[in-house]
Amino acid sequence: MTRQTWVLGEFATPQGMLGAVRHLRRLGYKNLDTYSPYPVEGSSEALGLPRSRVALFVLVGGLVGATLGYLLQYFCNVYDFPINIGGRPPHSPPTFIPITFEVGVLLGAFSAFFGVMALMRLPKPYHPVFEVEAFRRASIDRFWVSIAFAPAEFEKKHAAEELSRLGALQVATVVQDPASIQVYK
Amino acid sequence: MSSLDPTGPDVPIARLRARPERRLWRSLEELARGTAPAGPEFPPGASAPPEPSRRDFLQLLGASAALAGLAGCVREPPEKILPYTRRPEDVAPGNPLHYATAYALDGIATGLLVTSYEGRPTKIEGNPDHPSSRGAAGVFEQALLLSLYDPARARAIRYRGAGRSWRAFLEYAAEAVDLHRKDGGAGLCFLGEPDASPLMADLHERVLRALPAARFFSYAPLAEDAAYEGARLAFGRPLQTRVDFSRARVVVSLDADFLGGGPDRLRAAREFASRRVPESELSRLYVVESALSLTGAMADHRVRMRSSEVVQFALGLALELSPQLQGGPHTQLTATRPLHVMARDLLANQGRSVVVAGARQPPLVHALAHAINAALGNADRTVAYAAPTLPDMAAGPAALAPLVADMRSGRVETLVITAPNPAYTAPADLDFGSALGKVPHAIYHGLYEDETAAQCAWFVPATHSLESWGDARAWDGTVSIVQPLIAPLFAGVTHAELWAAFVGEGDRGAHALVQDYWRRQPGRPDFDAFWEEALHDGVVRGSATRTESVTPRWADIAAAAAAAAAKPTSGGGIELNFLPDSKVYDGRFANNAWLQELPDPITKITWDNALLLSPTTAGRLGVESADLVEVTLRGRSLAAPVFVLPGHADDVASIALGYGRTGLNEELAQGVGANAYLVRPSDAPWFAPGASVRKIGRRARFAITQDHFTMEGRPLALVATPRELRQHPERIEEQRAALPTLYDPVPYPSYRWAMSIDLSRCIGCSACVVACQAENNIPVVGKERVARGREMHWLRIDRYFSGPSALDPEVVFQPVACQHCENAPCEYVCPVNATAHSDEGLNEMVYNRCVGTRYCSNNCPYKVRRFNFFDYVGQRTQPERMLQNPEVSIRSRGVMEKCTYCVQRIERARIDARVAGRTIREGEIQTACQQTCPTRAIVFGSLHDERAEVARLHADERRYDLLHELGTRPRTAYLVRLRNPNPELS
Amino acid sequence: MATAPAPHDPLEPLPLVVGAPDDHTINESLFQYVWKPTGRGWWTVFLISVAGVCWFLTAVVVTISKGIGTWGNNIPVAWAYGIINLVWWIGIGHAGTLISAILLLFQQKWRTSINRFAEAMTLFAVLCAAMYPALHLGRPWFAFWLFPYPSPTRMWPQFKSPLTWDVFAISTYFTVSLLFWYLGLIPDLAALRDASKKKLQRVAYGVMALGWRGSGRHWHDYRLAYLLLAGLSTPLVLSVHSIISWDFATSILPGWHTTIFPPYFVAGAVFSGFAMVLSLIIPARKFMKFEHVVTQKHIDNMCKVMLATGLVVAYGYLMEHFMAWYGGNQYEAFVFRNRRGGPYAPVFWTMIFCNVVVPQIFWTRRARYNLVIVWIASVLINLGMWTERFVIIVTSLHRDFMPSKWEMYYPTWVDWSLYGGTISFFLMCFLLFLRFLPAVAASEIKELRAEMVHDQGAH
Repeated sequence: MTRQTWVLGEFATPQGMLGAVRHLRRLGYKNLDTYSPYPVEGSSEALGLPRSRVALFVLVGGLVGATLGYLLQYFCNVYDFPINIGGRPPHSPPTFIPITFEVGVLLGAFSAFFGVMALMRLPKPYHPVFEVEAFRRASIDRFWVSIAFAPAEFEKKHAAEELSRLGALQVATVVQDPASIQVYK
Repeated sequence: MSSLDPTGPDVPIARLRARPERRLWRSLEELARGTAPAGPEFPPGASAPPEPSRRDFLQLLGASAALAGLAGCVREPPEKILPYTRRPEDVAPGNPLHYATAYALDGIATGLLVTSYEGRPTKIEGNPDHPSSRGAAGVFEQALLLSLYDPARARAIRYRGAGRSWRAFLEYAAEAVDLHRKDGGAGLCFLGEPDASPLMADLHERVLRALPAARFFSYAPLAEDAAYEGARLAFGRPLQTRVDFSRARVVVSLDADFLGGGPDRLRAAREFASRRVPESELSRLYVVESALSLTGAMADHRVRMRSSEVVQFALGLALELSPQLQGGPHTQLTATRPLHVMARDLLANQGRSVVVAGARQPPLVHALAHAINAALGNADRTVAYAAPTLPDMAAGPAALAPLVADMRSGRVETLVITAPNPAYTAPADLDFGSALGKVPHAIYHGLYEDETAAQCAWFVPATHSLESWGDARAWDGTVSIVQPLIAPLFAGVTHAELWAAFVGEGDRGAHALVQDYWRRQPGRPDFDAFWEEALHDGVVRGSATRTESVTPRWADIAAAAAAAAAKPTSGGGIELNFLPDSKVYDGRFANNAWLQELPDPITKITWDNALLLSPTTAGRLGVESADLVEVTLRGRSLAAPVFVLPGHADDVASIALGYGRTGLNEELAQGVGANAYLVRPSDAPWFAPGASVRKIGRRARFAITQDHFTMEGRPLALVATPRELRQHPERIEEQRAALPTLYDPVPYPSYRWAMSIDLSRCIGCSACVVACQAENNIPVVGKERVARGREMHWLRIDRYFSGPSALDPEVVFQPVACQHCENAPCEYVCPVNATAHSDEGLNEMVYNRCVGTRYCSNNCPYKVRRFNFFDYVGQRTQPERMLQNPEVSIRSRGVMEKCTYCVQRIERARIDARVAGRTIREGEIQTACQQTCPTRAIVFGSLHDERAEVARLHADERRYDLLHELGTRPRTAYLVRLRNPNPELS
Repeated sequence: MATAPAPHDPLEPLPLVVGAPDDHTINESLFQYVWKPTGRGWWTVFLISVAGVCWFLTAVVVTISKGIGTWGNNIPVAWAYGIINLVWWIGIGHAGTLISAILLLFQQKWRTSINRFAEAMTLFAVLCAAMYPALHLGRPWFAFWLFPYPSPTRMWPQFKSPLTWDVFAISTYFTVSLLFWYLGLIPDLAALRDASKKKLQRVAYGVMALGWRGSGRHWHDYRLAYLLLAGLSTPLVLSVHSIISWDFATSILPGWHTTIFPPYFVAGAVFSGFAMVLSLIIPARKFMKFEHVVTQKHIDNMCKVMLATGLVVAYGYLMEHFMAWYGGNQYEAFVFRNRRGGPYAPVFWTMIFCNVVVPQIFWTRRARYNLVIVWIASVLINLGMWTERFVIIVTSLHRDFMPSKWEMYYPTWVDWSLYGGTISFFLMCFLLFLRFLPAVAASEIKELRAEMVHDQGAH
């Protein structure tokens, strides 16, 4: 793992945060992110995120589940061990529907939950930005913006200045070495 | 191993061998006390069984674990007994053998065929070759098996409570005989039950030869003395009446329950039923009675009246029918309308009708019946007479009085009691118990150490019928040799041995006694051949007594009739009726759980008897079912719960005998029901006027298997008259016509097992229920659980009351077991495939797969599935385990069970067929219920062969499906019950 | 979530959040009880419920060691309390999913203050429900035979049986509700983590929060996933009670075999579910000082929902009895006559009173605004819904086709213990939840507040 750097800025309002992000993007900053206690309208647009892929996961998961559900019943009661049950035909689609549906929903839900976890790279209990004590308010009542830098194009002074100029209440920089990690104010 | 040698290691084998003719050993208790004289009381080979098979060995181990006393016995008796099958060499582990034997109830024998696995009797059927069984067996016969293995049976000979050996008793008996010789045996009395056994008659004579003054008494609480007295009145000598119901077009029963009771009930039921189907000319049954009996339930017309009024009715009938009796002072008789109609119907069927009188009725009624039959020319056609099979000896309660008097006055020094439990069954006013206390040397011989044993100095355990050698005679006189199926489980001797002890032959063994007797009989050139045939067939061919034609003594009858007519109808108050019980008989079966839990055919009460009242009378007395009342008759009173029974006569209370036992060892029987003997007068043993009924205020809890009497207008048990059948066949048609279905029919390539139940034939006797219980190892659950609705019977008999009035209901019985629906509702709701359909159409229950959701039971419209709410198997005692049918798996706690169409019998037939390389033949398989049914109401077979009887019945015009509209397509078909009412009365 | 809030919020004038607390105060007020030491009241109720759970375990041991015979069941009434309680609990569970999922899809903002609460209730209710199918088996130790697993016997479950459907429906329902609930919890767990003072708490909540940072990129996917889970739960919750109702509807029993069951069961479920939410939240909001987020408005709305679903249920009763008469099937007709006038008629009329008469008081505003009345009514309705299941199950079984096999059913002490026991278990879980987890979705409240501020800014 190589050296990585985050420059963090704290804002009092979602509007301030969004404004900062838009401005930084105009300036050409990459790897921006916002942090807020609740989903802030327009942050996705501000960060210019593509459409989420969760929907696709759920669709696929649901369809696969339904198919498996039906095949399971078909295999057990029709193919592998057919028995005369009350004179009913072994393969009776109407009675197979409920379980088909349930398994479909189950796998759909799994793909939604674990899909989103995968997209968010969670669980990940530790993250360098947690090093900033003040960042704890990001989940309570403050709004943060972060810029991540690969070592190559690191120009922290400018980034930090930009953030303070954009009205950040405070700015912090987290530098992560393979060996150590420091926080600069 | 101790189980093989109950005496323990200290007894040298040589001494066991020394006296091989001795066939007895005593109980473990004595061994424990060490009071046992050494060995020689053991059956030959008791120490070394003839080549015990591995299975024997394991059984011995198992038995010895809990009950070493039993252990030695899981073997054939030592003497040679002959299997019924033609090829005795068949003996192979796992293959049952069938032995013919006989069981005598009140002295009259029914032929049995007992299934035995490696010497363990496991099932009883009727003997097809026996005249009064013809392959059928009743509830008592079916339940014999359980009493054989009853752990409460007595196990030791005792003198004043202390264990004694058989030899000790023999010495005692010898002394007694010597003492009595002085006065020719005047102080010696024998009290036995009526017994037709030739051997016993012979011993009787031999005792008399030795001790001419010795006296023999006979007692049975349900003895039919009146019938013989009636014959004496009518013909001048006692005769037995043999009715052939298969020839009678019109039957009038004067309080005669010939279907439910009586010595020849199985044959009577079969012959009667043969006339209740359209194939024959339909018979018509009129019944005059007070309490609703099985016969009354089958009646086309039933007249309720007090038992005491029946004589007047009979008189009226006789006057209309027999000119020879006319001209007496009978004018004040007010004949009712049904009487006239009956009379006309009888007149119209001279020679094809019969009037039968009930044993509960006084001799005059019997005499009048004889007179009517003679007048109608029925004699020698539908009814015949013959010398009594039973010895000519009064045996009713009245007959007991002189003996009791002598006992009181101390004229009886030695009393040998072989009658079952007289101290309990004797009428209260005789107070037999206390009289017994005055007899210095009382010897009681019985299956249990019961109320009587407690009063007697000596107690000698009796062998069970299935453990005994002996002989017996059927109602028609046919002789059967009784052969044991198993060596005595507990110490025990037979009647014959006990009596033989008084002619110095007590140590010869029952086998020798009976064989010697028959060897002495003339006309048997090749005795061994005769013996083998007799044992093999279970009957001695041609030994029936001839019938004889007799003419009534009109004058005597007329005189008696005049006397009776002059006498006013007996007094007011409530008339108390004493009835034989449908389950415990006179109380002797009280410790039999199968019978106690069997619902009474009419009331459906289990584990109880009740005081039966008509709705009207109950209303007048302000009582309802389950109210406890105090019945008082002649100063004696009794507390019993009331049961209000539709169809019961007004101002009459009926109660069944045989309950309220206090027997020391019969735990099951203790405190079950109320003891009606406590109020039974010896001079009026069947019905007595002037009883009073007082409400106590407390309530009892019945365990009733069917609380609801009516069909709610649903098409369940269908009844029709022949005319209705002709005019509206569609009414039946729509109960069987094919219903539209979305499913393709399931193909059944080979056998298609099916059953048909003819409601016209079913008399509700419930023998099938017990047979099913015995065949399928069905547990008994006890009163509390029955009351909760958890009885386990796979086959139940529904009893419905119908008709306009609850006072005179029409009764119909309907046996209901699993219907084996082709579209079974129980199957598709089971989540684990535990109940599914076989390719032969059986609705199969996979016990091992069942998890017990009980959904199948909910979805079964017939409610024939039974659930193991508790672990019932674990509760069985060691001896009870020995009667389990090894071909039927027992069910663990928490699984469903139900009728399987006796699949184990199907499989056995399949194996035999496969061995013989053929298919299963029609009639080769009989289900347990079908085999025992006296009326042949149940037929089983495969529909794939259209010549099969079951196929014919499924195509019958009377056939219908139960709850047909549900489209379950049951494999069990019902045939409409036919009623044949007299147009004049309906 | 409200991308474009309606110009005029139909729920005005009553505020959904009283006053205009800032995010910090919201955090403080909603989480304070997590930090505060446990009160005596909590302990009292908690210990009582624990005692109840021990009682429950006793009954379970008796049932499993002795057999179903210790229950009151018999033939014909082979199902009774076990299934009654199963259906009752599942029904209660439904309100949670309905509030959190369906109202979410309908963009009912007022749901936010009660959804977390209701979802927790769902989970615990389904837990209670799920115990009965296993317990009521004759051989519970073989319950796993209901699942399709490869075995040498090649014996599979029988998929035509509604009981097999139940297995799948209930397990799916529980799993999905759990995922949905937990996904919603994550931001609040993060908030708890970050607001916690003590190390232990911080670690504990940190682990549970899975490292949530409130990143905009995460919110981006998270919101969609949450919405989709809601979308999946909505048909699921409808299917679950429909399948439960098929346990009866697919049988041939009069009184069970009817097509009206699925909608009528679902309505009944929502009905009882809201009743349970109310009976729990009215005391809870008082003791935990939530009045400013769970306002009179919410209670008012829930009363209206109960009134509506109650009317659907009443219609269901009416149709059942009408059809029994109109259909002309004598068995059906008898069963309903027997319900009205048979031995169990008192139970039936209790049901009518609780489920049909009682909810009518909610027509009046005064009743809806009187918390005591609302609470009593909601408890009565819970009782009524239990009697409904009793009526459906027992009266249909105890007198069905064959009058010869009609029997009465009486519960035993074990039956009562198992019922009371699950109630205690439910209470216990709930108290733990209130003690250690955010009972109100703080992040959603903050969002809601932000929108409201924004709206007020608009005009």
